[in-house]
Amino acid sequence: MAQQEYDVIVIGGGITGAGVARDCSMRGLKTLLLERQNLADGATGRNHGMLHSGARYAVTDAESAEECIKENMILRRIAHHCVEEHDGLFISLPEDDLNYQQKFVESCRKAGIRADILDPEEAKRLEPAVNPAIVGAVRVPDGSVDPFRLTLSNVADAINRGADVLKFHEVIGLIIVNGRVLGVKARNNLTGEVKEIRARITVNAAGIWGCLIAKMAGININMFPAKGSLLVFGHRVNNMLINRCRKPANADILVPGDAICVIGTTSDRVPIESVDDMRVTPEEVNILLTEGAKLAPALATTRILRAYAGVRPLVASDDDPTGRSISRGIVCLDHEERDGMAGMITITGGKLMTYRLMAEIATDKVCEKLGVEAICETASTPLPGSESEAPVAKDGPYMYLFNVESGRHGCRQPHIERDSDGDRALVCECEEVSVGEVKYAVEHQGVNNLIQLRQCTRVGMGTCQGGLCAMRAACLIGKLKGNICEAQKDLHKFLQERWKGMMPVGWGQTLSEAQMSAEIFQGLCGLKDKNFN
Amino acid sequence: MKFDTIIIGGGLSGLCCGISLAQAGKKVAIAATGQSSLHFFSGSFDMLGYDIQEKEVEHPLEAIAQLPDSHPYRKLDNETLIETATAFSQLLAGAGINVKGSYMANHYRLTPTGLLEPTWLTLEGMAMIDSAGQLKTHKVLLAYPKEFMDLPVDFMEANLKQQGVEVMVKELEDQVFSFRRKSPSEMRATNLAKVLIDENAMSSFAQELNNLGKDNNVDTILLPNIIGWGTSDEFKTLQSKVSKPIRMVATLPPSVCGISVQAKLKQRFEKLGGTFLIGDRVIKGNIQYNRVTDVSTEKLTDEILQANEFVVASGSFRSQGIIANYERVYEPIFDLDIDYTSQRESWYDANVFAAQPYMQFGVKTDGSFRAYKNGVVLENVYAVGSILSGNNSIRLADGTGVDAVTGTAVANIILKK
Repeated sequence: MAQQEYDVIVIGGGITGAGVARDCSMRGLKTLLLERQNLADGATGRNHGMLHSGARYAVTDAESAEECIKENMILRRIAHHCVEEHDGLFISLPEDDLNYQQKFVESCRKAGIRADILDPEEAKRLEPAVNPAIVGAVRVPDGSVDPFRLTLSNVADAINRGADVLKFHEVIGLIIVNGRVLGVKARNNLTGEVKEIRARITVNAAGIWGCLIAKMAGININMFPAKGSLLVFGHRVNNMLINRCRKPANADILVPGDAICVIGTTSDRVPIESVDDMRVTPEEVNILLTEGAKLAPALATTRILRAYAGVRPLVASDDDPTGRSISRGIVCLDHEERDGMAGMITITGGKLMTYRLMAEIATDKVCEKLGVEAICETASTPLPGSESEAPVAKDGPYMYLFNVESGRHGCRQPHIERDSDGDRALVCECEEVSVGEVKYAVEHQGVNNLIQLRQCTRVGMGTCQGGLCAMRAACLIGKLKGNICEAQKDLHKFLQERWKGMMPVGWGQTLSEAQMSAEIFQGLCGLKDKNFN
Repeated sequence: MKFDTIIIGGGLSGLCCGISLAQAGKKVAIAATGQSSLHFFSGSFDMLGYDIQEKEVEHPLEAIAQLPDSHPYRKLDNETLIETATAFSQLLAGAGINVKGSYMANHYRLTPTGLLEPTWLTLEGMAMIDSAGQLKTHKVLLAYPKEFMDLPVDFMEANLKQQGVEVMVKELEDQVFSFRRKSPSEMRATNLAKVLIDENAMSSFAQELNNLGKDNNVDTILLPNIIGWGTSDEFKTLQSKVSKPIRMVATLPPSVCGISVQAKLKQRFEKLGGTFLIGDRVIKGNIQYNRVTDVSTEKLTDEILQANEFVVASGSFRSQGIIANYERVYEPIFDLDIDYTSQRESWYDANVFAAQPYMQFGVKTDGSFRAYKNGVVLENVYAVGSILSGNNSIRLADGTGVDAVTGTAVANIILKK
């Protein structure tokens, strides 16, 4: 078994782990990030992608609201290529209590969130998709954020600063000597190889799986897996984010992003054993559709692309074993202090929006433990892609391609080759992804498979859900990586993954699309399960 | 307007039915929305590639006898099946579509990913082989236009090599496609085929193939199916100019050979006096005493289309012949009875490659393919092709066969009436 020495091992390649790895690397620590699957595979890639202003929490959780608005403003600066600044509306429908609006606006302002009451007519003019029955509306600085892009940018920056990243490496045990965590036992999920990796400190940033990591050290973290289901629609019906102005409830946020919009979420406790394979139920779909149409009636007739579900890592406070007082706030556990187990801390709770702050808190703790004096600079240092404004083309024959690539890669866009016909040829027509962009993703963003390519470029996220582009993209990755056999297996996995999201909403055009996809891959091309085993 | 028969759907099943009726002197109209599964065509008509145990089928007729009674083929006895299959082959010949193969025994087609699939009839010029073992002896040159991505060349190369074929892959850099290459989304099979209608382009293309073939010790040149858009037999022209034998492989959609088959069948139908309403959709029908009297279409708003018989050939979910919504599965024109399970969870299998139950959903018919409505047979409404219930064409590899056989068979049923 190989031994490697790091200052810090970060467990979990979601946004929190990515943020911690970046922060640690920026403070000069030799860092290793471990992820058992692809990056952003857990809750990070399965949420609204909402850039919270904090308004949603203003009434119920002032602390979260304040954190959100601060982080919101930071992300607009350091990650502007991951963010869409379109503002949001908090609408009141006839059945909602208008008195709540007053309380809401006051709470927002107290938390430092700009909140402007709009005349309903003005709101309808700003956002024509909104339910015309609204009796009130408040405008707040909500936006949307691409969680994949944000995670990948954090990881890319960590790597630039010397961090190592191992994807498909699952922690299966901790190395514990005399009450101290000295590192981890990690299994390569692709090859089955197991190795021990040592570090001065281990950061558990594994989201809901964090309680299982803690258990490996005999530590109990009282976590409550809360499943949230969402639906993606095939069109962007709204341009501003639409929220209900009432106490947070099911399916009351509609977030526009790129060419689609997302409605969510539901909230249900699920057993920890089930979190590896979350599937959206018909009841959840029903709630999302019924409630969604109240925000924007057009949703009732808009094609649903797919459904997905994530699991929030909610943590009960330590002094309440019943779990009644669940916090959505940030939880940083110093296991030396709390459990007498040195060498490991856990960072959990929180939300996508506050990942940077979570990383800062965790890295401060790491530095304190290691006796390192270095200040956090993540709030002022732009992420790769946001160091400067992305180039924008105003005319020219390939203007649209140029601008789409700027949208996805920010100021790194000029690194994408588009000088030859071959590099401009489109792999994915729905999302306008060129051969050049795929090459860039494989050669410079560490892309090895279709899921990673989707995260970087949106390949397969459009209306055909991979039906027309997955074959081209798989073949191209295989060629670039020199592994055709692996690329064919990867195509199989990708088709399974796309179907998982289509199945819960398998009617209407989604079912037509699924049938067409089957005709192409299984009928025309003759692909079968046995080809991949 | 009054017709003997109105056919709803201009895909393979509708055209087979229409041509058979028109040949017998009937006055027939086909209303077609445009695209059909022929736009995804593999270049081969499949009678039955796999049995229900998913075992490869050698002799389709024997295996058809083992299919469950709910399968559309089982409405026909063996003799009728043979008659119909023979009639279909003649129908293709009459339309100028040349095929090879027999219902007596399946052969194999080569798929775009380089796999072999059992099939019934293969278009002339498309790659086919009688038995899998024969592949081993081949040395092929796989040539494709530079930047053409709708043939997964690397997958094809790897899978052919795995089957013992010696494969050499070459990009064609021919300038004839340079105009297409300029636009990021234009390198599609049909666009290239349109270029090769031009004689000079074809000569230059043939020249490049000859240059490639000359120095290489190969017995066959494999090309993506990018030839055959025009009205003359361009494949023959190309072959006459190239010294090595050429075979084509189907591409990802759009399918040049499929669209060409559709065009030739349509042409044949019109030549026989049929009326083809292209780009129009039948939206509703008038039903009286278990008979449809007339239908109306989206575009012919002040025209009532009357007929003695109606054939629904409007396809499955993808073609919107049947539609699933949040509550149910329905047939949108006449609201015909559908065979399906009401619990939506039971429509799917979590494994995308497993048999998906929804594939079998379709219009319920009696022994003569007459459709039901509210539990009662409509006396003059027939269903043909993939709208029929009881068939999973992906699992059984029988989609085009069911289209051809049921379309042709229903024409005969109507004629005998």
